[in-house]
Amino acid sequence: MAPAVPAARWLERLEESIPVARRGRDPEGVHRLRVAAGRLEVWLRLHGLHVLRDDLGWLRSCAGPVRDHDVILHARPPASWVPWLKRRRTEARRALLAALDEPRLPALVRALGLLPPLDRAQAEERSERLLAKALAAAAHVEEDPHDAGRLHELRRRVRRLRYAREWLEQEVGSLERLQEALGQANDAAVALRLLGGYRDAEGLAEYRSLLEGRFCVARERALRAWQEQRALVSAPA
Amino acid sequence: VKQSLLLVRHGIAEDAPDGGSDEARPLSKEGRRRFTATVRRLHRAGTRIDRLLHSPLLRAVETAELLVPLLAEDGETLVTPLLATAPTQALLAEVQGDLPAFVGHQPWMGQLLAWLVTGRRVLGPTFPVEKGEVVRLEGEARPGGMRVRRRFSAGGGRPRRGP
Repeated sequence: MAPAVPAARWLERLEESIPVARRGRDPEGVHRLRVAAGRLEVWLRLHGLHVLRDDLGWLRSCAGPVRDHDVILHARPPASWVPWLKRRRTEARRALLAALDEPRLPALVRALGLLPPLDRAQAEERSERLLAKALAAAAHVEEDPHDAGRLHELRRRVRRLRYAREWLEQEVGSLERLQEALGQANDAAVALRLLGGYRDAEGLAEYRSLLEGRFCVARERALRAWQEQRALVSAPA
Repeated sequence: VKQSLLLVRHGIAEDAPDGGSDEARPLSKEGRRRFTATVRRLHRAGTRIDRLLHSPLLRAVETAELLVPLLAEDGETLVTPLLATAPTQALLAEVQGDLPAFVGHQPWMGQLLAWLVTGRRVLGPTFPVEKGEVVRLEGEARPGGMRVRRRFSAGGGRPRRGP
């Protein structure tokens, strides 16, 4: 009988990332917290559970704005935009700290720690459903490659499929490359969205064009990666 | 403001193995079967939950999972330690939305029921909630502000009216 799959590994990483995210000295703390929450969310999907997924989604969404600002600030945006981004990051961090202090978080960790391990055979069946959803999202993108919302949805589906395969110790090489290209498109899309909310963005027209160009290049790369690797993605090792 | 609330005690759970954790006790097959039947009755009664709060203990998590088919499309589930301890004002503040459901344990479900109906938590032992039972309350979410509309027992049968 195939061994069951406990959540322990990524639950430990989630717990380790919480104090690092709270201290805020290392931006990787927030990133690791989001990754661990995302992986555990997929573990619940493989378990066939709906409960606790909203709680993990809440945690990810509380950490999301901090991470978005960290990514943009790391990519050296125009100096005139930086003070606004830093102010916004401070606000986002305040909201994250409030969330990390909520009793919901230790309750979530406690509940996840009590769940039994995954039944691997059932999880493999559910993983196939995640593959079907990723394939459907990709077909949706191919119908209209310029729709940023469809690309974003594909990114989420590919991420879930990759995490599912990693839980089940299956090959993910092609998914990793695809996810990276989709991530680059998303980084540019997020920067463009934030720039849209910046009142003094008029002087940043050139930077906006640069971001639009980055988004288009990353989108093309992602679509190429998808077309080249579709067969590999469809056939788990 | 008139509000509605479902109080749910977790379904029948397995006994803890020797030296095992009480918190990690799963629902028994019988508990799962009976509570699934209760969920079907709630569904037939047109129940739509928009906030599903539950304790972190495994038997409450598994009971909440069985209630998920009753969750509205934009409904959410939320784990809270407030349902794994005696009821407080903070828990009453969680009565939000059209129909929240609280999944928890005895004796606290009985205390919460007594508190909402009579204003007195100490009357909890006279308001017991059975395993797998669902109590629908209406009124104002304050001590003494609600009354029992229906009780769906885990054993089946028709829903009862009143406390």
